[in-house]
Amino acid sequence: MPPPTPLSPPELSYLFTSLALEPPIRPDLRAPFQFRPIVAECSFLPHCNGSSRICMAESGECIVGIKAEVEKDTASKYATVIERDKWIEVSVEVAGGGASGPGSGVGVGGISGAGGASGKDEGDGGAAVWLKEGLLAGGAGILDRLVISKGWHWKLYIDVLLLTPTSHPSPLLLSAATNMALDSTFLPKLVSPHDVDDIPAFSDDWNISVPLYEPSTFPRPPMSLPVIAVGDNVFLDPSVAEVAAAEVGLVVTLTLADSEGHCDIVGVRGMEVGRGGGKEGERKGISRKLLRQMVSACVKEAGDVIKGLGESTRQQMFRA
Amino acid sequence: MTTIVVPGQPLGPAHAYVPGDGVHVFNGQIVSSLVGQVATSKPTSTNTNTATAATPTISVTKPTLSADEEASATLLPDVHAEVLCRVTRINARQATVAIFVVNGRVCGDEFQGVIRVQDVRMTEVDRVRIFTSFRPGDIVRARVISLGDQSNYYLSTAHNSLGVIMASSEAGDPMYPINWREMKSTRTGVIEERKVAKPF
Amino acid sequence: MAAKAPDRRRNNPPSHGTTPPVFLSTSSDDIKPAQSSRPPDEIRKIFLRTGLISSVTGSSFLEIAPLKLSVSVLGPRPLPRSASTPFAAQAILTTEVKFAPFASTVRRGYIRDSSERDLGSRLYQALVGAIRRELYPKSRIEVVVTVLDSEDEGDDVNTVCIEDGRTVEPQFWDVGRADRALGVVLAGCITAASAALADAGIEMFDLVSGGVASVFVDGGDVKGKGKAGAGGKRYVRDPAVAPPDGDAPVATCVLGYMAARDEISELWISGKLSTSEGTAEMDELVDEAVAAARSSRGVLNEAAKERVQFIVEKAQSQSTETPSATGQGKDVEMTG
Repeated sequence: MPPPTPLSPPELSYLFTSLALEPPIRPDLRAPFQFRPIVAECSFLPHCNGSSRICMAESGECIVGIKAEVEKDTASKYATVIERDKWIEVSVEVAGGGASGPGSGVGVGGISGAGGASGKDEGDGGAAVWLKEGLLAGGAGILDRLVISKGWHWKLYIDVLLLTPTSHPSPLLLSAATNMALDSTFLPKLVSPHDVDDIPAFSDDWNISVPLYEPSTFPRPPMSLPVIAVGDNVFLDPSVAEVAAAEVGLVVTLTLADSEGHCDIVGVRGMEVGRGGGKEGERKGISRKLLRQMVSACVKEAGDVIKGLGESTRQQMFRA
Repeated sequence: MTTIVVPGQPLGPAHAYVPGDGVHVFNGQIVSSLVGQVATSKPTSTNTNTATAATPTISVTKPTLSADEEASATLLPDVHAEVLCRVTRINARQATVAIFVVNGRVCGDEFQGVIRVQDVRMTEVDRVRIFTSFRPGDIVRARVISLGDQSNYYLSTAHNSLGVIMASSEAGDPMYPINWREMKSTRTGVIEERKVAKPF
Repeated sequence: MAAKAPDRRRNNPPSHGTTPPVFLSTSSDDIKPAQSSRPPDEIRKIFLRTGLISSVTGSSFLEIAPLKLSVSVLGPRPLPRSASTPFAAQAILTTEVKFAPFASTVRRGYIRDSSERDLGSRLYQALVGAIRRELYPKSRIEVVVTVLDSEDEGDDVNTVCIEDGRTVEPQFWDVGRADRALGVVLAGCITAASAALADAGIEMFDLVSGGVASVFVDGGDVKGKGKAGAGGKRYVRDPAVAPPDGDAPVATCVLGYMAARDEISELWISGKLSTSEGTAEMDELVDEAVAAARSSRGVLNEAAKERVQFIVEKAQSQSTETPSATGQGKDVEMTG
């Protein structure tokens, strides 16, 4: 289901026309690739290994807490089964049960896959699946960092709490918050040797704790950018109204590959859009030319966005 | 050997044909929307409009094994459609009905509709009372006047040919129409009031 | 995520679950699946038939090597009468993908888990644009997919085995494994659901066919992740879950493709793609997946026509008074 919108068909049609113009006019007069300002804080939850809070103009506020627990690899008599994709658990929850907002339970983020089609039992799960997919994709950099010693690993719980009960927050909100929380996650330093399978021991001193993502190493935690297309125009960070009027949408997940701001694509997913303003019988999917335009727009802008967020994280970490 | 087309298959330029059922126009082409056989029909001679007189109508129909069974699966009531429905409950403002035949074809699922008191009869609308027009269980022929709200189709019986076509008396006996607003029981001869459809 | 109440309507297995069997490879010359004989640009043979379930509007059954699934299309049917249902000027599409409990090594429950819901909403995304929903106001079209058998998602590659007391570490962690397994299922779902919708006689702008492609590099290169030489890349259409010998997976692309309009209705890429040459790497992968989708479109077209052909021939044979029992639909079994 597309995000519920209070806009009437004539309003959507007007929006569609102004977005399809050359040059396009966005309702908030942003440039096509311009992002909205965000408020971002990190590592403020004392009980968490990493935490962040992101506040966005329209899609609300979101808190992420990351907790790490020591876990033993499961072993049977014959084989040690390491199910590495169970080392990370992501859950997305909407404050207040999520049963209040219009169209709630339909899926968080409006990302294809993030949420259900039947709109009943689905509220969670979907966005969690998509966030985790981005983390695991691309060589599983994060999983290698979770190995403690022989037979032991960290289990990472990433809990995303949406404070504003909107059922369709921007995917940018969720992924930016997760990105920042991961960037500010620290794990206690191991003091027991690496290669024995005894219970590992850790230092109590948080001052010598090790970051999950070592600064200035690559790849960095991933981040997802929503992108929509109307006519021949491509827009980044669309607002709710723009998503309702858009013809097609994608969520592109990227990670920073080097210090110069080059990015690797680690995932692309379709995004559910309203198809509100278009004419009948027109575009029903993405042509390959448009796909190229949409993804290269993300690739072009992602470096600055992720670097900016990373710098803000580091500044706050040093201040603290 | 008839050719069978699939959805997305172009059938011809849009200027050469008038699109009929089962096709749509894309990029100046008539494109099939169904799996089925293509049929082109010559414009009817009664059509005096010279602009469209020369262009035949093109449509795609999906053939079925039994004519009335499969095609009715995708049948939906539309505005102006003539429907048969069963009265399920009545109150002073409206009669609620379940639509089970649309344009002479049985539909897969029953659709809920209402006949509001102002739509029962064409004349003397103020004097109509639902209780003297319909009873639960009556079979009514009606016309769809609007797709209505989220749950009901709005129906009308404001025509001589529309109204109750089958009904049982309070005792449960079948009744036959004796005039445009009364029906008589076949067994007891008791007369009950209905908005009766003209039999022919 | 609230804890689910126990499902009391069915006989449930022990609540603590059972351990899935882990099979040890006993010798080095164990039997390899036959997939290695298939060229990388050829998709597996597809068996697709429509109209098997008579009680629903449209149905189809699809088989691609180990994958077996059936699709039912219900409706258009009236919307449920509840106050929360809004007026719908267009048909509301709902999709549901369910693995049968016996469809994989690890038993699946009756309640849909997150990966099944994920597949369901991606199938929705693939189909929703293709259906002419404005023709069916105030109604609901349901697409229900039951996966009867699937290529195993089981994790024998990502398992550290202890054989004869020594630990056998895997050469690399095949993180794309689940993506490939689910991708093949999703592509099958899309193709089969299109056939079922066509069988139901629901008007569509175009048929949507599913395609999958994966890109691999030499396993030796995997330590320098992402830095693999461009020459070492191998694209495989319709990949099997087990990677080709010694190859490490880089990325997988699944898409729903409308061939007549050259449009992609659903796209899902997972894995790592470098952007040093713009989107060139992604384009190549998408092109491969589109090529796979084109191949399956051929089968889809034939399968969609098959039943209608049968009905037409039957009608013709009846009209010409030939009592011969012709009209056994011929098998549509095609390679890409």
